[in-house]
Amino acid sequence: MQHSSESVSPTAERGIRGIAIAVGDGISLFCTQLSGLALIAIVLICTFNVIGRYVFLHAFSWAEEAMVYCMIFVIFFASAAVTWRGQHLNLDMALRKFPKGMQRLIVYVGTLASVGLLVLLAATSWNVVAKLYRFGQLSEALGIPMWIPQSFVPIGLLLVALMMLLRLVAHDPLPKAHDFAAEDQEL
Amino acid sequence: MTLAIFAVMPIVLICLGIPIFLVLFAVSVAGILQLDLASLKVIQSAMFGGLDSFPLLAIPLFILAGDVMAQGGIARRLIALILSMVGGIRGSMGVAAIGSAAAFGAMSGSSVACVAAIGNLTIPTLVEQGYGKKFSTSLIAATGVIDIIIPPSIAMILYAITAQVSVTKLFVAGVVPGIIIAILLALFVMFKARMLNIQITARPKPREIVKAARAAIWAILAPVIIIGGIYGGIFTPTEAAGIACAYSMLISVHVYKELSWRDVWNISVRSTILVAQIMLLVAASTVFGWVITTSGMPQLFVSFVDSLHLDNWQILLIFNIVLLFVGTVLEPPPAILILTPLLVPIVVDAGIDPIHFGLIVTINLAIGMFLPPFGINLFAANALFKVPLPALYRGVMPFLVIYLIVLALITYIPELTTVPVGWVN
Amino acid sequence: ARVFGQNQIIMKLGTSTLQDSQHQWMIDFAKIVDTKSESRIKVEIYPASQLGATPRMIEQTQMATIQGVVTPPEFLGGINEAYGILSAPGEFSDLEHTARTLSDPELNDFVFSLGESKGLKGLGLFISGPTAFCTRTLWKTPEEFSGAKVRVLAAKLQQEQIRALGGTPIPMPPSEILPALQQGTLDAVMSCIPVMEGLGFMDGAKYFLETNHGSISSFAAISMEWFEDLPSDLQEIIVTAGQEATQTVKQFSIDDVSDAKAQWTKKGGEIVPLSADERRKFLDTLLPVGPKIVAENSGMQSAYDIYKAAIERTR
Ligand code: NA
Ligand code: NA
Repeated sequence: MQHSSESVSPTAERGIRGIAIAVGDGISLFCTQLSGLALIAIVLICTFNVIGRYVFLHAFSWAEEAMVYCMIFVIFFASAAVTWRGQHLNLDMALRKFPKGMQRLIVYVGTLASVGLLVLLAATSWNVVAKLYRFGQLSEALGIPMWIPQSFVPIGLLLVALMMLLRLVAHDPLPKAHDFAAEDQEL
Repeated sequence: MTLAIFAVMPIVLICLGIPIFLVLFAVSVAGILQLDLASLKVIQSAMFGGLDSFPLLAIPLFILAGDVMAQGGIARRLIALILSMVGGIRGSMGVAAIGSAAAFGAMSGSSVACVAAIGNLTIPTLVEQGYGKKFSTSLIAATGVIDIIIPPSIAMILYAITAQVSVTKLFVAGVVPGIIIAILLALFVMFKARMLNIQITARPKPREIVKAARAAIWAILAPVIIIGGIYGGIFTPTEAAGIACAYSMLISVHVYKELSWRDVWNISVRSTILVAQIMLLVAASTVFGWVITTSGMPQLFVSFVDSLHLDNWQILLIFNIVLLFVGTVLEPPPAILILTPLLVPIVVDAGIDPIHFGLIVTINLAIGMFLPPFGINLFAANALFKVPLPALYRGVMPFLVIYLIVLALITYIPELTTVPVGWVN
Repeated sequence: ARVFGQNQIIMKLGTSTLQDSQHQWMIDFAKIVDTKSESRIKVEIYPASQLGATPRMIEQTQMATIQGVVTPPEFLGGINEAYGILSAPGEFSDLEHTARTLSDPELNDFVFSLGESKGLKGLGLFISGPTAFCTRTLWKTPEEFSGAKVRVLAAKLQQEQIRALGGTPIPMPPSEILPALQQGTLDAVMSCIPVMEGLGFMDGAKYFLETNHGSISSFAAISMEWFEDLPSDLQEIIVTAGQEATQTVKQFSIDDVSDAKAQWTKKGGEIVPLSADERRKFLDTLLPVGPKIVAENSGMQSAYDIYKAAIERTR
């Protein structure tokens, strides 16, 4: 069995790049482990809720909410790891047609613009979360403060932005030739 | 300017290789600012709200269940059993894959979940038999959408509620097209198997079947428990996904002993990556849906169509094209919530049966899920099975043709839906 | 407030339902506002959860990203639990009486202000329908609910009613209810007939049991932040339009209940009328739930007293 959260970066590096790699790997590991816990929690809550309802005639009124909030946690925290691995779904056929230097420029400008957009979104999201905190708003079923699950969104967006920047420093972010080497011949 | 934001901007950004979820966010932000729709704070609520949905849980849970079954020996035994039963005709494994997807469709309402669960089970064997990874993955991506056409289907429930028609009748209406699609897909796979010269496996022998069944007894119980649990009223289709996870974990660890709990943990951690890849797209698409809803564009389109005074067949043709297009960008639920209240009055006014139209909407949105370039099943298949998108785009083309033929049949021969629906009364 | 080309202010209103009294309230309100404001305010109507699920529409209203929402008050429990008292069982003589209670000025003053410090201003309170059940098997007595799995909202006052009947309260998301009824994952639903008919529950639980043991209400709320930014003449118009729409929707809600009942039978459902004695048995079991639950909390107690007084005052 392959270990699930292996480092994206194989060798020890020094300097800024080394730091970026260490930080990226660390955050990525931390986020996927927590997300794994949340995913397991969904399975457990679901199973016990079904057993409780069918066998013991007792349903947990908070089960549905807890499962959904765990899922939202998984989505936004694991997204940081997705970013670090450069695995966000995208189409780069056109990008590959450009000369290497142009590709590099596009990737750098595109990444910086994306980071800008993510920070803007995170800031507006944070506004909403802060207001929910001030209102002391509670969730319907669990009765937990609404700002907690909602803060997964801005935190996730900021983590994604951070990982994008770290990736620029740590890796060559251009599309790799081998991603497509297999196309058609082997498929 | 509006055209530049909603048509030019996404194409340019996508071509530059920007992640799709960020493209949707960028277009949404630009649309909100240009049309002065609301404060940007709405994005938080739309994004959180798009994910704060119980039925969506089926996607991460079936991704996890599929992965555990694939690694823990359940999948291998189920496939061995299927292989012992199908044989003697060319393409039997491909047909078995379609049959599995259709059966899965009968118990679940989510198409991405179907791609994850059935794909994990069947694609490795299909590849082994020589169908090629591109064809196998495209087959599953295209067959997975049968899920929202075969009842139960969340999409149909939402249509029935918004169009004020009977869910049961709509469910009944979905059976015939579901079967037609499955048969046509099966015929195509058999034809393809002949072209690829896939070996004919031996005719089924009862002794072999019994042997395989005995080896697979705990594995067979997985689908039995899932289907039985739903139809026996023990759990809902969404909860079935969680039960599937728990069951396959227990069997893999304690009965087959092919996984340790540490392996289960590692599989769960790895699954979170796939979940995030796919679900982030769902979140971004809800935000985009909010912008489209409040932009006034759907209303403009409807009054434009209304002013043309078209014949019924022309109305249906235009709606088909629009629905296909909408289906590629939006998930079926937001697409239905936005469009049904607008389109159904026109349709009813023209004397078209709203149940018949409900089926047309469902099939269109189903096709949209694997229609290049944005169909979510293509992204899911790309993430799950590591097949490049351009290969998938070419791979799904024949399936697209099949679905479009069925769509044309259903659209222009209303009896295909109205007659079976008449039987339930 | 956002101002458009011709100085027009856009007011987006959302609700989760379609073609019912909540939707109708928005239509009436939009017309009245348009006339009174001479089109200075344009009300845009988004039914059928087009702007998101109810809790998210409420938040959007609080954040002023949309301007208003029409919702059952049970969904506001996370903002102020006192909204929940409108779920308490109550004995109403008929729908006219329920309508009088819900538009009682003292009750309105109280309920409309409950969310003001959290960005929500109340504009109207009206009937969706009397609280009742639909069941998979023909039940006529409280005893038959013993051990039954009954779908309710997560609000405590709703859950406790099912416990009082000896059943298991199951909060379940709307899209799962019908399949759950069809497969028997649920035995019954507690709601009102326009909702049950609108969501097609007769296809899973055909018996509509008229216990009429309370009111499922609808609450129209607007964004406090947006409202405070309006010039005072427009503020006045919004408030009066809210009152007038609540009045005009009254007859619609009453008709909607009988329409929904007619549709229920037409679509294959059955209406189970209860004799006065049979209904009394349900009331005897359910009415004590309200006082029992609110006794745990002084804020809820005083809210409940206000509601109870309004019911008696308007009888
Ligand atoms: Na289905
Ligand atoms: Na799509």
